[in-house]
Amino acid sequence: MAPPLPSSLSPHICILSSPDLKELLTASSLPQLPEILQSFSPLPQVNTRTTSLTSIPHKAFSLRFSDLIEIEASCLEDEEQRAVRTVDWIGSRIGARCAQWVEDIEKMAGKQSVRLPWWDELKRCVEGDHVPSKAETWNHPAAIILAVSTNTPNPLQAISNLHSRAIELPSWVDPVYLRYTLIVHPKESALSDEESSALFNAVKKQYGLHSYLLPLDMPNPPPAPVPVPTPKPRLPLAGSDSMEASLVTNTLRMNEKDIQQTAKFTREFLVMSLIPWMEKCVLDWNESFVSTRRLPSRLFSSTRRLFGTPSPSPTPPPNHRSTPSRASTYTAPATTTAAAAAATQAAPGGLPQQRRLAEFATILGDFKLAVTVWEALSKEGKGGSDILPLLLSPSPAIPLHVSNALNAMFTQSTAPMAQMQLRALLCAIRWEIGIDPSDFASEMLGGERWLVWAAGSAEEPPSALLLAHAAFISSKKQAFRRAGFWYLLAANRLEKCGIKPLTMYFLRKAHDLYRNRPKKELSPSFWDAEGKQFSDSHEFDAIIPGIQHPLGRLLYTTGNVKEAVEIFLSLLKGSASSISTSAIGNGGYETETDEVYLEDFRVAFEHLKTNLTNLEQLKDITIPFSFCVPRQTQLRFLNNDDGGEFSGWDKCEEAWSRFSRSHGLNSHLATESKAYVNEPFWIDLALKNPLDVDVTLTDLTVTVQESNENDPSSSKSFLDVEIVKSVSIGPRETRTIPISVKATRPTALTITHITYTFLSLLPSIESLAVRGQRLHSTAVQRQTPTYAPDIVMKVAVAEAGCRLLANFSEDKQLVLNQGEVISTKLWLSNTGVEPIAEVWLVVGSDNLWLNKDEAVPSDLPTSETIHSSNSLKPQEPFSISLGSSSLMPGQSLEVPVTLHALDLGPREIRYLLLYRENKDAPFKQVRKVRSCQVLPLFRIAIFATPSSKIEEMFLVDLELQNNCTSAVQITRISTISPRWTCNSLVDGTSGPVFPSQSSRFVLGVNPWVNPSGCEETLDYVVRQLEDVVRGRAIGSSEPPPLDLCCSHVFQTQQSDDFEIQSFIHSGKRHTATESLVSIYPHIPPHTHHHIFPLFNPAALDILVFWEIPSENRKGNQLVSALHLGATHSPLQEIIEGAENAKSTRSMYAQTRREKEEVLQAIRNSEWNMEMNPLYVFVRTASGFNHDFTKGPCCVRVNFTVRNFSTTMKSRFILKLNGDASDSSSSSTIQPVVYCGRLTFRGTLEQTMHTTFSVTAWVGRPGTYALGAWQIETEVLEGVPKEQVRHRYLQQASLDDNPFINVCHVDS
Amino acid sequence: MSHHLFILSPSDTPIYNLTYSSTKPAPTTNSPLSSNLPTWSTSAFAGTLTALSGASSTTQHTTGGGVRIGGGQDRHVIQMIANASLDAIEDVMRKEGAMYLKSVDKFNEWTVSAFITPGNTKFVLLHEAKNDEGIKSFFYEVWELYVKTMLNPFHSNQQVIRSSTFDTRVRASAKKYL
Repeated sequence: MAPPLPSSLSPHICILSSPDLKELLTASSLPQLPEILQSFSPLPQVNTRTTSLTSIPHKAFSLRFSDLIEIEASCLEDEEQRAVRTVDWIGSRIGARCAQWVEDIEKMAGKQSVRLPWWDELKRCVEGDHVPSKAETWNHPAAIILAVSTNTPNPLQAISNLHSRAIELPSWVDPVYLRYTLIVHPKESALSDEESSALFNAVKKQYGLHSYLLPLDMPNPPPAPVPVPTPKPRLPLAGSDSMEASLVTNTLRMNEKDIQQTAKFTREFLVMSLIPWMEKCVLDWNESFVSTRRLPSRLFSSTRRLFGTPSPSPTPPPNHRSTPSRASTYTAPATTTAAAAAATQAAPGGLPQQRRLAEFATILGDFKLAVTVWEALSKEGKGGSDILPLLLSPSPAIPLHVSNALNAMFTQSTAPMAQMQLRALLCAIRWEIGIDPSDFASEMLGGERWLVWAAGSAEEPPSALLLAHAAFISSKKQAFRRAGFWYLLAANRLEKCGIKPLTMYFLRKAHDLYRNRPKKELSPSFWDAEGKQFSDSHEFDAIIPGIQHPLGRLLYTTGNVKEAVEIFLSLLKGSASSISTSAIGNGGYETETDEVYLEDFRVAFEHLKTNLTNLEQLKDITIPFSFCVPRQTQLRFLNNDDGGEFSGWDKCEEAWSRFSRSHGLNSHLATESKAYVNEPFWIDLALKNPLDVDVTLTDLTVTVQESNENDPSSSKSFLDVEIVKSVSIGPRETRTIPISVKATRPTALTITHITYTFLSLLPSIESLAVRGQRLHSTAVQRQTPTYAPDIVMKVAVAEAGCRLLANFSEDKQLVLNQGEVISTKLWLSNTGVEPIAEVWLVVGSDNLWLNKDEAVPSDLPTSETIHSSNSLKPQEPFSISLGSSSLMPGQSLEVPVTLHALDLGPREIRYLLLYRENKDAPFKQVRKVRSCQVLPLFRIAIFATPSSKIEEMFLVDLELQNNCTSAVQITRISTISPRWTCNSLVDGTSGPVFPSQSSRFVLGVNPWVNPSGCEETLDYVVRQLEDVVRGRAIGSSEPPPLDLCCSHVFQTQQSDDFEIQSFIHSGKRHTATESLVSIYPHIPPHTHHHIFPLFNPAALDILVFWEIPSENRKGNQLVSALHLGATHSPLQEIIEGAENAKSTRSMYAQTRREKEEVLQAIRNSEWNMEMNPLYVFVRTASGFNHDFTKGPCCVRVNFTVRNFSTTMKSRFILKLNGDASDSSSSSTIQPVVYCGRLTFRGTLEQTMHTTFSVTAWVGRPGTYALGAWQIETEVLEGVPKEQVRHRYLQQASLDDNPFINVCHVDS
Repeated sequence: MSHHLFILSPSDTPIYNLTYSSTKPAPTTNSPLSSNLPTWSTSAFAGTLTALSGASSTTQHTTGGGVRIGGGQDRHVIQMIANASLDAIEDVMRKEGAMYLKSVDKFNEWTVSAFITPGNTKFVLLHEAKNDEGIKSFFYEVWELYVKTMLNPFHSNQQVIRSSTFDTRVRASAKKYL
């Protein structure tokens, strides 16, 4: 059952009361007649008839009564102005009462209220409008009741006065209405009942049947008030004071009889007069409507539509002729006819009659007819779409009608704004009332959207309330997100009208609805699979601030400062922690918002602070984000250079622990850093500003308490904690702020919190604890994340027992040349209170050692023998001798240290000093780092060739190019080799090498006569590598010792005081370690010194000593690249053995691949080189003169064959005059032809050589190549039974061999 | 002519957004559907941050058709629209199986089109003009890009997409179709 029509769609009846009636009513404490009659509307059980004479029962039939004079006055006012006033009036009414409503609604927290008071109020205000409008005719009077009382001296005259009074309605008000005469006959009237009946009959005779005599008791004093429905509020007249409050009556002081009499009159008026009159009107108008719908007129009307003739309807309005006979009295006296005709012309839309027909049919319930007419109207664009949704049953077409109706309203660009808005509002409210709520909210109609459409863009309370009601309906439909959005829009609009309580209520609603995210139908394991919690998922980042910020501001302006402060604070958190999806999209937005929020917070909080007497209340205001980053906060102690990479120190500590193990020392290190009494230490606080705006923190400090105490104040007496007055942190900046702490007695301290005052306003505290590690030990811990207890910073403040302070005597940064040697001094001092018994220096690299006091002989022999352990083992820590037995407190010591700059580039030199007070104490440590910059000095080129001279086996060419900017003097060149000895082939002294100049040296190399340890070393390497390739454990054996031959091949006069052995070893160890790591990446570096010796027996290293006199620098550089002499893949057997070994399956392909790579590296290593050991030199004089007339020339040619192998002997066959085909390849130079013995055989021991003399036969003059030979080599091995290890065949290449020139000379 | 694209994970967590201002002119002929609706001004949304306490009622009767605010419009309103449209999208999803839901909802001048991937990820596009084919192609390209991003084993469904490659490509595709 459809709900009844909205009451605004009911007949409007104007009442014109005579002055005496008004007096009468006032005298008997009754309201005026319209109010009295209105109390009886709606009337129950009324029947109407349709045009087809079907009876339609109405359960309730509404009537609207108003005072004609009021209506006349209202019609004079400009409609737009009136609309504006209406909107303001509604706004003020709602604004005045909303605080109470919101309070009431919030009282019933939890329960969703069925009715919203502001919506009801809006409905009543809009429905109550009764002033005729140009746009529609609902409010045009359907009847005018002329009322008099019998109290007047001459009632008949009064009636005729009323009848003759011109109705001063504007011309556009439809003049078709029913005139009705009412005579009120009070009991205390001057007229008797008979007289009044006579009067009534006279009136009936004169003015028709539409008259009524209403006898009333009106007792005096008035009876007890009877409650009646509250009349709808009406817009007060312009200019009149708002007296509504006093005028609102919802009681009537009438007795029962009067009430019945009045009810009877009202009913009679409706049933006997108004309805029949309206039915008659409908019938008549319908006829004319049907006639216009016939073809010709439709043709006409469509042509008119097409050609846009602005003239009114061609069919003359038939109202004058078809006057309903029963209502003969309605026709105005002749004076009004002209006005009526004029009204027709100017009537709204030009079709007042059709519109009225539709309205009357609607009122009477003849929906079938009404729909037809409305549809016809709407097709012609004359309105009607707004009523159709009320009459039709729900269908998808209805939203179209709605949008048409609103569209028509809003697109009338000429229509003033407020009027348009009011009409949209009226339509929306009629729909909301007139359509069944379940249909209205249904999916098909989507009525809440209509309200939104109708709200338009106006920023007025009515449209805001429309939006709010749309939100309300949406939220009932479970569309919470949409509801939230509409509430927000409503709040945005309402905010501008200053209706704060309701705005706040809407904002809170929007917030709640947004927070109430609908449950998603996701798999239960969705969040598990993502490894996240539902609560972790973030949301739209701008929405909550967009809702909360206006709310906070409203709270602040309404005096609820504390809540406002809390909201502003939470907003700051919002933008700080949001995982902003806009990181990519629109940046720059948050900057200003953070600033705004922070400023708002500051203002609000300042206000709160000044106005609050009880500061306890501020306690629960906390900053929702933190500045401190506990993980990056650390402790710093005096005299501890912790700079540099951790790995460097690890290396030092590792070296120390190896050394101490091997020497049986108590290696326990007191690693814990400690602070000492009366000495400051620092807490480096890492502060990160999460906001996009500058933030100032004041009174920044840390809370320190004793570990065994719970009260932080206990430590105050002996602790001195710094307080930083003010710290300013830029947007998203991270700063490190050191806070110094000094204790005056030994204790254990825990640093728990930092405290500061945010913006100099809000004291805050943050914990410095860091969450412990995730635990994985039990199944439960693995299933639910469990963490170890929080870690807090702890400091032990100790009495300064023995303390070593280390410093460099000079602390500037070093700039060195490569190979430079400098002596520095380390200054050690005992600042503690106990003597230090033992100090060790551990260095992280090979280029630093303590100076020894040994005297260096000033005069060097040309060659010397150095005994070497031949071990790659890194340097051992140095024990620093402390002069007397120990270093007493307050004593200091200088330790000279030699530094040899080996690597290029910026370097850090690490000193780890370990010390203790006695043998059993754990070692304490001091770490020092010194940085230096090493620049290149020489570019060195070195290469060796077999010598063609008998005297030397090899020639070594050494070229040094000066790459620095000063002249360098080469002071000495020494060669170091276990097997070779050198001599300079150049005599004389060398001058300085100027920048970019080079200096060249040629050295002759011969085997050393008494090598020692070479064979053992080779055997050792083979043995160890066999272990490696077979995957056996490497023993901790060391390579056998080796003697090195050190030949000083070049020396200037002035001698230097370098201790050569250290440099050889440190330089060689440095290069060897580096190359081993790069060649054998898969062999662990700590086993290298058990596998490889320091020196390969075949190696020849050259140590170049230099000095730069102008800069007083000196140094030396080791050139280590040469391996001389032939070897014969000594590792061949073990590699083959490893390859042929039954391969064990490995689980991992990676392991297999690594093994192959190791094998490959070993195969290609310097230890496994293989080459032809024999080399043939051909020597002869370069030119001959011969008289060929005397016959051919015989030339002597010497062939020398040398065995370069240091380990094996070789057998060879040298054949001369090899293949003729070879010689033909060269056209110009012919090979010489040898004669005599052409094949030589021999066996050569290691490094031996042999020479053959051969004759070459030259038939005619020319140039001949001597290289017509080939040599077959067999390398022999095995002492008792010789067998061939390698075989080589070598042919002379024409290019390498010398030529011989034979000229013809006449003798 | 601005467009706002949001990508929402199956739990309706926003994982990407894009504001794109099209340089293409708005089509002169509006669809009959949209012409049925009133033209709305957006002045209601402007300046909520500045309009603080005691908003005066003097600015009440502004005429319609206020200046349209493009991408710089209050971000929270745009996000609210996207969020609110999810209600409509879910309704339509339940009724239809289509991936591309064109003009599924309307809020003031904004039309909302959506695209639901088989994995229930939603692409929500707020646009002002009608451009069905373009939007459809755009969605398909974004889908492909999204799938490529999701192929990354280190990327989860809930994670915000911060890949600059993805962003660049989506922008390129927006430039092409929108």
